[in-house]
Amino acid sequence: MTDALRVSDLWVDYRTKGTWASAVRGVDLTVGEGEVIGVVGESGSGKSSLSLAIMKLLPANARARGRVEILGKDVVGLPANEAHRYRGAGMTMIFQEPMTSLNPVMRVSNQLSEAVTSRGEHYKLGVFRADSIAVPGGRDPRFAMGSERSVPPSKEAVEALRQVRISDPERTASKYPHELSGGERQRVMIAMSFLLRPRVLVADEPTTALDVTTQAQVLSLLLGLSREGTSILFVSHDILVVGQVARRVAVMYAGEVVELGPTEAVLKNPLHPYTKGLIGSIPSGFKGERRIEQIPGSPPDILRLPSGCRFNPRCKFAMERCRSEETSLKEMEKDHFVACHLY
Amino acid sequence: MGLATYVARRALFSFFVIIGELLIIFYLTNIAAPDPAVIWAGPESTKAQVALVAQMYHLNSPWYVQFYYYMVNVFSGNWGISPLYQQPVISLIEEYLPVTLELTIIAFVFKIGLEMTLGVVSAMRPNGAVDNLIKVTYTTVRSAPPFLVALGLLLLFSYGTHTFPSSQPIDPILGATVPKFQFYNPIAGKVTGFWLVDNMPILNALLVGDWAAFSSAVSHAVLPVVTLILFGFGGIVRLVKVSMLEVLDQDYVRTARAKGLRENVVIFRHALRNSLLPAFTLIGLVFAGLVTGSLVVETIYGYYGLGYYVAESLLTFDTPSLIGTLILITVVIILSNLVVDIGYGFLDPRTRVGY
Repeated sequence: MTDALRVSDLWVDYRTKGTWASAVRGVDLTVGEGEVIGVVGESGSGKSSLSLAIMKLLPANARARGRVEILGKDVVGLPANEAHRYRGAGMTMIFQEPMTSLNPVMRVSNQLSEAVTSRGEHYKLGVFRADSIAVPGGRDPRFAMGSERSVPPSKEAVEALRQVRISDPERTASKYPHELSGGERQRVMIAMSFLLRPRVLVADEPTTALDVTTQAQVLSLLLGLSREGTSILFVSHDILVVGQVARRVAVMYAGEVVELGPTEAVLKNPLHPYTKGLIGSIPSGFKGERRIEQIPGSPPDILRLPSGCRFNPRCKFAMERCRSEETSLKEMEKDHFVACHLY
Repeated sequence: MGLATYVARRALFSFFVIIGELLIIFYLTNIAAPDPAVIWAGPESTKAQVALVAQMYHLNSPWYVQFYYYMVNVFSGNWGISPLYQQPVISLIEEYLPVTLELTIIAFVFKIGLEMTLGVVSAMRPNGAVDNLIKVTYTTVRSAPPFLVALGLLLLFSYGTHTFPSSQPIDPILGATVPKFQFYNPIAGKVTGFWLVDNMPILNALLVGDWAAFSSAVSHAVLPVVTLILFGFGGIVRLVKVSMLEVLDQDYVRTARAKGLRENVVIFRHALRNSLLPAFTLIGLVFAGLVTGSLVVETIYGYYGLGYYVAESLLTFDTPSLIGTLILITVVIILSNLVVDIGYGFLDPRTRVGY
């Protein structure tokens, strides 16, 4: 299987108080063609910085080091004026805030049609040529052909809205974003990624702002997209939501991946004390007589990281070694990695 | 709510504002001249003459009856007769207003275009060369009074290098020979001129194709236009710059980038329109500022427009002319605000909801 997205030794630094503070510290990740990978962590664990670095959309006061390869092409070293070639049909992102992620002065249909034209232009540019990617069966044959200009965009936009189960898509398409609800806007964002047919989709907490029923719809839509061959990096603080969609899960803490493995293995048999804490803090619903366990303390300030294992001040298993020696990922079972001195 | 309803509502509001404004002007003129009959009849008039004038102008009636006649006269174009020019005020306005309107509109278009472009450019490179140059110009021009800027330009380009003429809207000889633009008027059913076009020196010369007059009119307009542009220069630049920087940090700009759009598409299609919104509210004020600013500019450059007319009537106590121009300027300002409101409705769909 080819890797659609390969992140190797990625560092993201922010300029604060005259120094550089690292929010992402040497992350390695690969996402295969059509694979869904979950990234889990608390606020401030570097998930969003990782997503933005992959998209090359970091704010001006941040820098990325390392490699991010989209279909084998590194985007980190790319000059800013060329990054747009790799976004769109190459990779795109669904943002956490549906309320502000759509342009308030453009009709929904125009914002969607823009995705169609953008895709057409990307094919024409030849950055994502048909021969450089394996086109999975059942895909639109035009995908391999190139230009999309002949297709009337409004029709496709309406069709995409229907796909994301927006009622009365024709009317919704002619509306402005402020006339839609949060759930509808998030679905418009997803419709947009449907139209782009990206090779890689970074979904940064796409369901956090939604209510539970909408959440389930959105998740199944994303899964549908991955079945069509899009690789998805699903970023969330909610390990349960990630468990529903992702084949593999990466747990992030203080900018590092501390545990990585198949979803089943990570959820059933968490190895890292932090992952155990995350799973332990899930309210177990009606069945549970068990009290909610919480992880004591809060994530560290990236300006003053503890030495050794970054988790040691909050870890109940912390040993002398944890305070002095940094951790690295070790393979415990097949494909199940953990960065902990316990093992 | 649709755009049509929005426009109709704004227009109705503006109409009521104009009525209110006329009421205020009516009240103020009554304060300024408590016994207008004596003034209008003249200093050597007899009691009977004063009484006759008072009766003629309904001055013995209660204020609302007077206001009624005042309104009827205003709307029927009877704006009184200027004692200085011995002509109806309305025909003087017909002569002077188009000159100022042309000058102001040219200055306005250049000013808005220039300032908005510079705002975007300086937002692209904050603290770059362009940004710093604008800051220096802004501080200099803002701290210098407009008449000083006008005099400085006059000294430099007119008396110094003789590049541009120092006064008049057009070379007087050319101005006397240029024909007035005529066209077939479907309402009147015959070929006529139109006062608004007739008295715009540049537009009229352009329409009749008199190139000598056109180039003369243009070169006469250069210095006044430049002065008007420099009048309060930089306000919009800075506003556009700040809001552009703000908009570029917005989520929807990130979405546009994530869509794989080129940077210039992101800026011009997504960011620009949003960043111009706050500046757009200022546009009405800028136009109003240019109309009042033309008072100073026209006086200095001897540009015979409305500003010149106002200044002359102020100096000669020509009350009917003053009232007439006062009404006119306020109406122009209210209408320009109406245009801005309607334009804002076009630019930002969110504003159409609240009304």
